[in-house]
Order: sequence, then C-alpha cells, then structure tokens
Amino acid sequence: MGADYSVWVLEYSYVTKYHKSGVIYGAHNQGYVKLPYCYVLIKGNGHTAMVDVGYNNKEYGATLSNRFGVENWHSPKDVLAECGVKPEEVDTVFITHAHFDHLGNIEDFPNATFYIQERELSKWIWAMSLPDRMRWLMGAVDPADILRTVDLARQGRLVAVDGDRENVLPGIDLHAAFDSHTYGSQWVHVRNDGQQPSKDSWVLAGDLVYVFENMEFDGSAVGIEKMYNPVGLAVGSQQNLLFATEAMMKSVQYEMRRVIPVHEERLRDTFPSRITKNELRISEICLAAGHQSMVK
Amino acid sequence: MVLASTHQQELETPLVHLAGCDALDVPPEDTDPLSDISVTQDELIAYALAVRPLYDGLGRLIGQLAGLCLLAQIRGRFDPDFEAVTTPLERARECADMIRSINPPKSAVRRHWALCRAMSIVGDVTDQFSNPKSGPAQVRDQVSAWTDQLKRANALVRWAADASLGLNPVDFNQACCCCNG
Repeated sequence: MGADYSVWVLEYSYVTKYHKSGVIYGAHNQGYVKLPYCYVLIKGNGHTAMVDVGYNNKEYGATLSNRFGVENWHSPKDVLAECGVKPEEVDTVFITHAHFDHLGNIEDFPNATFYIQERELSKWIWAMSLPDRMRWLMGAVDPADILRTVDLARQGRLVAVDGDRENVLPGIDLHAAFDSHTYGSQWVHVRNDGQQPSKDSWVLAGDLVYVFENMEFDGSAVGIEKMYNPVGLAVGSQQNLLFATEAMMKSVQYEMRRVIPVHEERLRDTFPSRITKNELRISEICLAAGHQSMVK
Repeated sequence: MVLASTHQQELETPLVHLAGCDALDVPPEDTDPLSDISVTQDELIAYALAVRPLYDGLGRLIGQLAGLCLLAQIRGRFDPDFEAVTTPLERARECADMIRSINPPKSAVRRHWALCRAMSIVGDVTDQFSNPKSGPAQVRDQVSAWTDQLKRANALVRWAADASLGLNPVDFNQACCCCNG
C-alpha cells in the first residue's frame, strides 16, 4: 500500500558560515558549517500542511543579511511554487517553536490553521516578565509575531495544544518536548501507513535536532560507537533534548534517517533532491501514492 | 488609522492619513542645515546608552501584553491579579517615566517622540487592566481593542529602531539560526 502523505523539505535561505558549536553542543573550535533554513511541506489525504513558516524578510532581512550573513531568502510564494503549491492552499501549519525564524511569516498563509503548544506561548510571556539580567531566556522572540498570533486567535485560526495530540490530521500526531530547545517545542510525527505503531513514519523534528550528527555523534571517547549529542541551544535542558531525541528515534524504530533535521545540509545525501533556479534545495523525503516527484 | 504596517518606510512615505493617525503627529524634520553637525557623537552615544534599555524594555512590554491578550483570547478570561499581569504594570510605570525624562539630541527628536507616543498608548492599555470585562465574548472584544492599540505602539517602536544605535526590535543573538561569526 502506498504512503498517505508526500513530504518535502524546502530550503528558503541559508547561512554559509555557522559555528559548528551552535549545531553540536560542545564542538568548540571546530570551524563552520553551512546551515540551510528550511520549512516542510506535507501533502496528502486532501490536506496541504506545513511545518513552520520561516521568517519575514521585510522585517528582519536587512539585519540578518548584514549582521549574520543570512543569504538568498525567498518568499513562500516562490519556494512553494517549485512544488506547484500556493501559500493560500496551505490549510494547516504546525509551529515547532516560537522563534522568529519559524513563526515569523504567518501572514503569508492566510487560510491556514496554526497549531502551537500553549506552553510555548505562556512561558515566553513569563520569560518576558523577568528582569533584564535574565534576558538570555527571551531572545529571538519578536513582539510583532505575538501580536500576529493574537490575530490568528481572533480569527479562530490558532489551536493552542496542551501536550501530545494524535491525528491532528489523519495519521499526523504532535508530540510535546517541553523545556528542551524552547519551553514548548513540539515535533511532528507523520504515520504514513496510518497505523499505530507505524512501520512507515517520519518525524519532522523542528530544532530539537539540527543535523544527523545530533543523533549519531561519535561515541568513541566513551567506548561506544554512536551516541546522541544535543544541539547548542536550549532554554530548557540538554537532558530534555536528549530525551526528546530518544522519543523521536523510538517512534521510527531507531531508523535515524526517518528523523528529519531541517537544518541538515546532508539531506541531499540521504534523499532525492534538486537545486531550484533560485539556488535553493528541495529534498523529497517521501512520495504519496499517485503524487508526482518534485525533484526529477 | 491604525498603523497596521510595521515598516519604517511606510511611515516616511507621503500618504494621505486618516484622522488620528500617529504619523500626523510626528514632529517635523529639522530644516536647519546645521542641525546634523550641531549634534556631537558624544551626545548621540549618551542618548543611545540611555534609551537602549528602555527601547528593549518597551518592546518586551508590548510582547508581554500581546501575550496576555493571546492567553485571554484563548481562555476567554482575563485575570488582573495574575502575576504575569502585575509585573508589566509595574514595568510600564517605570518605563514611561524614564523614557519621558530623556532629553534627545536634535537628530533623535522624532524617534524619541515615537517612543513616548508608544509608551503612552501602552499606558492606555494597562490602565484598563484593573477593570476587565467578564464573559468570554466581552473579554474577546476587549482583547481585540487592546491588540489594535498594541499594534499601533509596536509600529511606532519599529519606526524608532536604529541599528547604528543598537535599537533593534528583536534580539537575534540567541536565535537558533544566528551566530556572531
């Protein structure tokens, strides 16, 4: 039986020189890696869904470009067009966490219902009430994004989820990873056979892992072959990041390539992909029955 | 007119504004050709040092109030005794006094005015916190009005941004995508 959903990882921008220690906790003085910025398109069962929506270039583009070397941003309209999709067709968006580069472009999806963990919202609000000396806990959140999220709620297009939720769309589950990368991060589990437990599923990990190496770090230093090593940034704890990694891996029977890190340049080595006319990569994670490949 | 747009250029582009639009009240530009060079770097730096923590604080305050609006919208109730509500009220009072006490150099008068106006709008919202409506529909109506006010304030804060003085609406340093490399 064919898969229910097609999944593509769509690059919309990138940083060519990103500190490796940001990607792998503790990888100090190990140089730089390219860090693609991506969101995920899911199509099937009559739905067009996204995991995260990127950032708003009008608001942040100049600063990100000049100060942080973020390059080659393209709009969802341009990026999704490579898969024959218009932003207006997206009916569901899963927000993995509220950083501006994941939540910052909600205005481009006027017909979508957005799912986010309520804790992600309430704890950011709490963090903003803390004194200045605690500012580290509240970086990367844009007040304007919160205002736009209020608008979503007013329009009845915001669903605040409390913990895990099964079958948000048929065969697609949300799993909370509290106090990890952020206060209320979540990951998306696409069960492509509709079964529970699934033997054909994919995890869209948000920023709970940045790259495959977070799941297959060289363990020779402690006498084992591979081990988990968390990402470099957590407002929660590295412990919670590791347990989130374990939960994601368990959900795909420890077949690592089924946990998709969206900042991973090596997706090109693992999945069919192509470079678009805008010099951005599309990686095709899986194809539903009857769907046309977007990378051939 | 509600300043729905947050883009600086849109405030500066000649437009026909509706009555009540904040853009109509922005102080005129100084036409004195010597005004720029009459402001020393030291004055600008002193201004930046004084205003930056307040600029950041005002942005966070708007974010926090927007978040409270969001929770009230989702939950259909607004609890004025909740600690997350009392903290921004105190912060708003402190921030308002301090922003108004700053004497900006000529070249920063318009941006400083925008911050004062934003603070005033925020104050109008927080003044209503002590008298919240009851009933989910009424709460949501009130949230709707507050949110529109906060958008006006946020638009003014963005207009007052100046990267050269370290006045940025978002702290990118801890973003997952950003580094200082």
